[in-house]
Amino acid sequence: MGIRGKINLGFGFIALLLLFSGVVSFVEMGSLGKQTSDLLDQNSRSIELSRRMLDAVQLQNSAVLHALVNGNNEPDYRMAAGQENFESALAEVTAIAAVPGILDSLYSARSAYGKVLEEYFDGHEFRNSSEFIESYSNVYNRFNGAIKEFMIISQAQESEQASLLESNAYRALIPGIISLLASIIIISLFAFFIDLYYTRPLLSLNRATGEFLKHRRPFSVKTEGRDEMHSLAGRVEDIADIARRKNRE
Amino acid sequence: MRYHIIARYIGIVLLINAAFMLVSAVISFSYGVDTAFYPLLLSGIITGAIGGFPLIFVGRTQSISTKESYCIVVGSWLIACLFGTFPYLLWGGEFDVFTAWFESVSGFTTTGSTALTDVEALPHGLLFWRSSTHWLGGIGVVMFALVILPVMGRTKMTLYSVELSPLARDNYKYRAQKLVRILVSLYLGMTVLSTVLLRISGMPFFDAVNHSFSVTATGGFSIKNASIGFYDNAVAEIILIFFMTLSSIHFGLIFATITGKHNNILRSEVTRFFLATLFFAGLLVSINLFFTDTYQSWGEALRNGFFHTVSNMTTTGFSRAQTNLWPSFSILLLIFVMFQCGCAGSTTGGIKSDRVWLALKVLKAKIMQQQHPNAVVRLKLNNIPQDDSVINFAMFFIVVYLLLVLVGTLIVTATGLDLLTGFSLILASMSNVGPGFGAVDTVNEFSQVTPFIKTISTIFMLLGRLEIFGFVQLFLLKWWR
Repeated sequence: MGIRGKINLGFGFIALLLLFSGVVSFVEMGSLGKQTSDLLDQNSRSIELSRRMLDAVQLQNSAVLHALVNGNNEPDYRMAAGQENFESALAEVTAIAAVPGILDSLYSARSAYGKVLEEYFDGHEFRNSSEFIESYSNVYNRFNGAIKEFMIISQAQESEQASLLESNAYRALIPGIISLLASIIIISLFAFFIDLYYTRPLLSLNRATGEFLKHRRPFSVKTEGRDEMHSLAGRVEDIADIARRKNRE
Repeated sequence: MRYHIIARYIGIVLLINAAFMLVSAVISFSYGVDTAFYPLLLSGIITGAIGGFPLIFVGRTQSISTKESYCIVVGSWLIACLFGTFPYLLWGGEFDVFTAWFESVSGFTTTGSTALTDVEALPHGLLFWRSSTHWLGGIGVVMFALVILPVMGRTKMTLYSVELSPLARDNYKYRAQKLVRILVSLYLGMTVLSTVLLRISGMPFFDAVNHSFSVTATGGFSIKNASIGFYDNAVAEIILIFFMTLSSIHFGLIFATITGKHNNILRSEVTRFFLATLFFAGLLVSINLFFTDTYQSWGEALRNGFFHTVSNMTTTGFSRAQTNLWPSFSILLLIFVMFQCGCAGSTTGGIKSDRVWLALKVLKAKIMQQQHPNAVVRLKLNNIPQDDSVINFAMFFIVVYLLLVLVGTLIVTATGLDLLTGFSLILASMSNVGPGFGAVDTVNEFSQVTPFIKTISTIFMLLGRLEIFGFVQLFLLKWWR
């Protein structure tokens, strides 16, 4: 292979490896960015859903309080709206829950709460208001607690995922570091070969021809390889020989 | 010294590594693009690019000096080990930098000890790469590389002579170029034959391939946490015992035996000594296991005793029992055979049976000379008179070997390891056996040791694989004339 081919191929290798390391870094960073963004989305979504569930229960609670104060056995619009909001939030939570088991206590608290409300509004005879308030406050607190517990568990899971993300970030660095190291090795090798095969013979040729012009001293330039540099050195030596012979004549 | 020539040959070794990484990636692909596919592909591309780069500039060479060949061999081992960590590091899992380096060095030096707690968690592609490091290490990365190179025999012979133990060279009767071909064909043949036989014995094909890579190289990596004990297959164990023993015999002699040459296995006194030691050590261990009630039946005692004796003496390191629980006599015998190991000219590590046999002959000669002070005793090995320089070097090697094991034990016990663990850890690393005893037994191997001890172990693995001086010379190049 000639000089041009070798140098072009050398640069080609470097360019490809740099491109490769760029692509690897891009892919890894992109993947890490997506994981981070997913985690943040998941976090804000779980907070939002918990807030919606708490608001919905709050709304139902105000409907119950209103009924109690007014002595009504018919819940107002807030009860239905609260229930609807809660069910819609719960459906979303169920759809995204990574570990289905974490919703068990929420389902159980919801049915207990619903049962007490149903009994009250269906005209179930509580002995007095305080009996209802006692059972209601129990299920209400349990329901609220279950929603808060769900929020805490979700946050703990996201914290675990964040730790995993931290380790993934370290892993994402490795391909980049390896590609970068490979690029450094190839660039160093390229610099070494260019110096050995082209720079050194050229400098030595330059020095030798200078010496020849000054003192007409014969010279020999050592080259590695069999490319144009080798033939150039040989031809310059031949020219010098011819010149010396002519001078003698 | 011509660094560009060194770069060319190391580059070729890297290209072979890259080829095996890509084959492993194909295996990953065939198993439904498992998690190792991307790490193996990436590693293969990077290793191939770096390995191929020097070939653009540096042409073939007809001559190569001994100093350069030393640099190529030692450089190849180190760089192959370094690039061998890439698939592990990129895959992640249990691998940190130290574990990846340990696993890679353990693979290429055919030591076969693992720093992983759960080998079965690795995907198929990575398991294959891990076994490939054994296979490549077994034949000698450099020697293997030379077969595919259309260069002259002289270059081959110079490189090749560094790779094998000095005693091994005297025994070969073939021309260097032909010899390399013979060795590789034999190695390939043994790998294929052991795969077929293991498959017939009932081992799944993928498992059979991986274990045959391991057994031919006398490596010891298994793809199961319980090693060979997982299969509980007596036929497979007999096949493995046969191939472990065969791989520990001088490859030139195996070829001579197959082709019906005069200089065959049974005529070699070193091989006879090795086989006799192996048999008697196995028998003694089995008897000890039976009479100490470690195993209730003779069958189990013989099966376990012989399997572990062969595994340790051939420096393979496969296991089927927790040898840590064995009686002290058996453990000591296993430690003894871990010093002697197989024959020169094979893929085993350790002091080598040739040197031990020579040492016994020297001992006999010294006693004889004391009785007959004027007698001229000429030491012969396989009927070939040995030069004093060869004998002196062999004795010197044994002394240095023992000293290094002692120094290594001192270093690791200084970190708090107990004596049995520290001593067996260093010996198992230096002799390229694999698991040791104590905290580095057949169950835990090196998964519980600190990164510092892992690093020390890898240094001893390299020292053992390159027969001590091959490795040490690299640091004394400046004074090498």
